[in-house]
Amino acid sequence: MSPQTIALSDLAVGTHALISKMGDDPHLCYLRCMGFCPGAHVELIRRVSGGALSIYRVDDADVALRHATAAMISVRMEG
Amino acid sequence: MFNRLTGLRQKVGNYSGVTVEQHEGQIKGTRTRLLDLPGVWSLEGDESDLTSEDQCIAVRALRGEIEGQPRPEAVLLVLDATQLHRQMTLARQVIAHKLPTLVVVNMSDLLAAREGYLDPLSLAQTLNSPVAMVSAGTGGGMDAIQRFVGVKNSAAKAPLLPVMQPHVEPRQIGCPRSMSEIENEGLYRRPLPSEWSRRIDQVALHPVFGPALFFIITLGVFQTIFRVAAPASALFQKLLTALGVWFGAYIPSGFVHSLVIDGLWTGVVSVLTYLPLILLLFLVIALLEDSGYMARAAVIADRTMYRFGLSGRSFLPLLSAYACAVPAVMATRTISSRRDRLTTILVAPFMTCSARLPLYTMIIAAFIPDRPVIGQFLGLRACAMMALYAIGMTAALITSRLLHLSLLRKDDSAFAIELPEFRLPLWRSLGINLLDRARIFVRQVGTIIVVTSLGVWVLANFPVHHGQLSPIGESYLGHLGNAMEPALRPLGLDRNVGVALLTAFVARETVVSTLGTLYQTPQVGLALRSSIGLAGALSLLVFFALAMQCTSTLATVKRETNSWRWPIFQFAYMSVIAYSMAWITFRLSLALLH
Repeated sequence: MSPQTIALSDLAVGTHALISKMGDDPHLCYLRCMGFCPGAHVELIRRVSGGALSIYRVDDADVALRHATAAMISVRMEG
Repeated sequence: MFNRLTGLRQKVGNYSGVTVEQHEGQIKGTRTRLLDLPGVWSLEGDESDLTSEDQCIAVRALRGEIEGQPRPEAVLLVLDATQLHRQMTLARQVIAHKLPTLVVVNMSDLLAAREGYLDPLSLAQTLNSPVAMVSAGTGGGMDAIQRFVGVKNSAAKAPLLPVMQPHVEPRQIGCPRSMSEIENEGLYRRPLPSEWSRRIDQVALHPVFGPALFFIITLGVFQTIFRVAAPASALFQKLLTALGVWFGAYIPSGFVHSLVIDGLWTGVVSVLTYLPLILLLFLVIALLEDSGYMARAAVIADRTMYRFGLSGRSFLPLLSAYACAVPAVMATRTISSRRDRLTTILVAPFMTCSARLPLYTMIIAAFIPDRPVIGQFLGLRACAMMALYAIGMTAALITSRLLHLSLLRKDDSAFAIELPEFRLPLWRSLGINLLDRARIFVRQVGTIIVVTSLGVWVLANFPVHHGQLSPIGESYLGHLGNAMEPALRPLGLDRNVGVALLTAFVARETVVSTLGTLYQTPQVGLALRSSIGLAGALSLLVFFALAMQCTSTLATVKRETNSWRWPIFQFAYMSVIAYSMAWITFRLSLALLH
C-alpha cells in the first residue's frame, strides 16, 4: 500500500477519499452495485456502535459497513 | 407500480424450489399478464446470498427458464428516478437480454420536487430503449405503460417505440452515451439529498441518542404486541370459539360433531387466532421498513447480534418471537443473507412466545411463593418469570453461535447495508402488503395445520369401540403417553404430563386445559404438586421453555425454507436440548431440595 493509500476503515470522520482498489472478496461484488468502485468518491460520515460500523457516503447514498468490510477497500486521500 | 397496473387482481405464490414470492396479475383493461420479479441491484452476484436467489429468479424469468412460465414478451424495467445514476448497470444487464424493454423511471415527481431533472430522450439514447417517466404513488404517466403494452399486444413485429413523453419530439436513437456524459451535458441532474432525512440520522445514529431511540422503539413494538395484539388475538379466539359453538349446535353430537368441532375447527381456530397478531406485527414491521428506520435499527443492533453469529436484521424477528414464533419466522424475510435468515428461523422458537405463558403462570402460582425480592417493585414470582424469558433468550443466542460455528459457518466479514432516506410510508402499499400476508398465512399455513389437527384428533379419539370414540386415556394418543412414560420418568414427569405435552403440538395454550381434563380437576397446580412435585414442575418448565412444540411454527418453517429438512432438524435439536436441560434441572432440584 503506497503512503497516500490507506484502508477505507482508517479514514477519519468527515474526510473524503477516492477509492483506489477493491479487495478480492466475492462479497464485495454487491458493494460495487452500491457505488463502491475504483474512482468513486467516498466520505466517512460517522462511526456507530463504538466504531464496529461506519457510515460512508458514496454516490449520494449512505451505506453502513462493518470495520472488517471497509478494511478490504483501499482509498487515496483527496486534496 | 405492480398494484397500480393490476389493481388487486393478482395471485401470490412461490417460485418452484425457492421461497421468493411470485406475484402475477393481469394489467387492467388488457389481457396482458404481468409477472412481478423480485427487486435486485444487479443480475450478477454471490450465490451464497439470498439476494442472489432473487437475482437467479430474475435471470431465469428473463430467459424463460422458470417452470410453468413462458419467456416474457416484453419487460417493464422499473428504476428509481432519485437513484438513477446508480442503476445503470442493472438497466444495461436487463436490456442485454434483448427483449423489448420499456424503462419506467418511477418517482419522477420526487425527482422534480427535489430539483432533479432527467431528459428521457437522452436516457433512451443511452440505453437504446424507450423511457417513460411515471409516479406510481400519484399515478402520473402510467398511461405510457398502457400504450407500450397496447403496442406490444397489437403489433405483429416490434415497432420502434417512441419515448413516451408527450411534450418532447421523439428523435432517432443513436450512439449510446454514458450516464456521466448525460449528467455533464445537463440532461440529468441528481436530486438534492433530503436534508431532513440526514438530520434525523444525526439522532437515529447518534452514539447516545441512537441506541436510546432504538430502545424506545423496541419497547414500543413489544408493548404493541402485548397491549394491543395479544388482547385482539384473545378476543378473536373467543369470537371464533363462539362461532364454533354456534355452528356445532347444528351438527348432531357424536362422531361427526367431534371431527368437525374438536378436530377441524379447533385446528382452524388455533391458527386464525394468530391472525390479528400477525397483521399488527407486519404493520409495525412494514412501517419501520417503509419509513427507512429498519435499516438504522439493523445498524444499531448489528454489533451485539454479530457476537452471536447473527446480523442486526435478526433483531426484530427475534423480538417479535416473544409474541409468536409464526410471524417471527415470516418476518425473517427482511434478512437478506440466507444463512443469517436460516439461523434466525432456527433459533426464534426458543424465545418465550405468549402461548407458553398459561403454563408458566399456572406453575409459578402453584409452586413459587409470592415473596418480595426488591420491596414492592420485584417479587419472587416475577423473577421466576423473567428467568424463564432469560432461559429462552440464552438458548437462542448460544444456539445461533453454535450454528454459526458449525452447520451455518460462513465468512461474515463483509456486511453492508444501505440507509435509505426517511420517507412517509404509503398507506395503500401498506394495506396491500397486509392483505398479501393474511392471504399467504391463511392459505398455506392454514392448510397444513388443518391436516395436522385432524391427525391429532384421530390419534386422540381412536380406536372406536362399539361405535363410541375412545376417551383420551384409551386412545392412540393415550397409549403413546403410556409408551412415553419411561422416557418421562427421568425428568420427573408422569403419563398425564406426557399426553398434555403431545396435545400441545396443536396449540401450546391447551396444555393447562388438557392437564385439567386428565387430572379431572380445575386445580391443575394442586394436582401437579401432588403428582410431580417441585422438582418435576421445574423440569416441566425448562422442557416447555426449550422444546419445539408448535405445529404452526414447524409448518411455517417448512414453508419459509421450502423444505422439511430444516423443521425436522429444528424439532430434533430443540427436543434434545429441552430433554437434556430438563433432566439436569430435575437432578439438580432433587439434590438441592433434599
